[in-house]
Amino acid sequence: MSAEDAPTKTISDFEATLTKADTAVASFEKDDRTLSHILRAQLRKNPTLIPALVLLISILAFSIVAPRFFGMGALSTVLKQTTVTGFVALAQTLVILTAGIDLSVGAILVISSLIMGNLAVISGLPVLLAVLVGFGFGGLMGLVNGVLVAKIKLPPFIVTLGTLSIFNALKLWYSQSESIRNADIEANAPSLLWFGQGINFGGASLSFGGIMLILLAAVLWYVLNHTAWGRHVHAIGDDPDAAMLSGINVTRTLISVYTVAGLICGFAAWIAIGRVGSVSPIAFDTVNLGSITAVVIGGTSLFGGRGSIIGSVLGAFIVGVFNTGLSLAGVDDYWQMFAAGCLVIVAVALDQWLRRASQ
Amino acid sequence: MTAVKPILEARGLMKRYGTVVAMNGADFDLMPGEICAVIGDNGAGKSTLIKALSGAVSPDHGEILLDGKPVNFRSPDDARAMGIETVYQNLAMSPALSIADNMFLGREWRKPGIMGQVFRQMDRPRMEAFARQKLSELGLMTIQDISQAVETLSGGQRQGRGPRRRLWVKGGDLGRTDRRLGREGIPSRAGTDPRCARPRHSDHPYQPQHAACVRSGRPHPHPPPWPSPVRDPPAGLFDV
Repeated sequence: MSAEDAPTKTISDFEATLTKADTAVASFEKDDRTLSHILRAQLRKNPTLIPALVLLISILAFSIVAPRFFGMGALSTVLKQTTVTGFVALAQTLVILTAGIDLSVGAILVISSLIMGNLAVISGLPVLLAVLVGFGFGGLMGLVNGVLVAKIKLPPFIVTLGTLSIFNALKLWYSQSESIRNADIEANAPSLLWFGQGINFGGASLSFGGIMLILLAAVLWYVLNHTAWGRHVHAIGDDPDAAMLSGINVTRTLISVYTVAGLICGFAAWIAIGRVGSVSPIAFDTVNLGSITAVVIGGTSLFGGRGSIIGSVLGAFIVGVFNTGLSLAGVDDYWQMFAAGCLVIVAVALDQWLRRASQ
Repeated sequence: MTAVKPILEARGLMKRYGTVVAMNGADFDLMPGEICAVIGDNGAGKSTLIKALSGAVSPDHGEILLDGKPVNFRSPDDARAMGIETVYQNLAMSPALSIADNMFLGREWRKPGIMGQVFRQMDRPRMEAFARQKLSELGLMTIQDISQAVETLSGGQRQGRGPRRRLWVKGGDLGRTDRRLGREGIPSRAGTDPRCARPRHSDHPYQPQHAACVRSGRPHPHPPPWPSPVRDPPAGLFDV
């Protein structure tokens, strides 16, 4: 090493100045400067706060506008009407948490219900077996979505737009565009309708389907918040590269998410048969967008990584409350769609505001 | 003197991205207890080398030997199972998750007994207590809320927190690496510091324009304080 290359300062010269250095390694001032900061921090911590408040306020508001609305009767109607959308919204929440989207959920639900109906009513299989086969096909269709998204690495929007079309074609082919009538189900396989029944108390009725919705939401809440798999689902939605580098098997987790979403839709098919009483290949065509609306209103971010399962159920209820409330108030049907549209836009605007890091 | 065998070796690693050659026949070896800095120009292949050694990238050619035995990492998890931990340049964090969740991402602890085995419940209290303890040991713990989401930290706070995900396993090597390299007169933030574009002090420079390896050769002065559930890592990789 030549003389001019030699360092002019030794390391002790550098270390001598260290005594004057700030000894605090890092400081973490709290993010509570203004009211909007506090509000934002609270909403971040409790993402279900907004949909819960909106639900409460909308119930109260509609009760003033249409006094008939207030009471267990109307509320149990809302729960009944939103049961199927609620189930599909649960499946949709899982997918959206990974920053994906599933446009084929409605088609999966209808195919599964057609399989259950055909096998139980026309082929005369035991109901439980028919339900299991339909449920399994739901999972299989979800698996197809998952493999295309995770293995072939196609955008979820494109994959599920494609499979939506494919599944729609398959359901028309399989059913020969024929419905299975309520009378036939009641005669041949009445237990297919079991989830439509319920418990009555004081003018209100709670269907078994509604109870299952609440149970499944509780299970999924636990899985998302208290198991490693749930954390991985969030992490993948947040930043898939960081998740991969952290040692998460992104491909396997993504496939499992889409498969579970398919399974939930397959199960929802049984609930849907009970709710409607018949099986039709053209039913539930609005459930795709309805589920996305519910998820977004429930505070789950379309960009992935944050959201809550309880919020999605509340989101489905909010849409239901608006629909029932507006029709009880004598407002025309199209204003229900108008209201749902406004809710979605407000919810996404709120999400953007929450995502912005503290400034 | 008995011959010390390298604990981690790489022979002729090559990685291409399309027509771009990221790494062309890189050799690398690391002795037990050694601290090694890889320095080189932008695009020299430093990060690719680290990623190949840590399983995030699989090389097109060449082999990696751990304890003299060839290994084939298919994912960072494989490398971790063999005891190789990595801190990445981009911090590799999930902003919506809490500090504790981020530190344990991909290797969560489960509750003992039926809650953990059947219901697969994570042991949050234990993970948070451990995270809090490790951050305090590093002198980085003036924060009250370990369950705070990483995204709620400001940019500076987040950067200060970045390497911590791996630090708890590696027992504060980063600080020691900095000082050691400082003594050798070599800036430690080799990857990003333009001053070290020309590695004058490297012992075994690779081919021109390729990542060079600088080493200090002295073993750790202290036993590393990593926790018992994790095997002692032979190597901690920092991509800074």
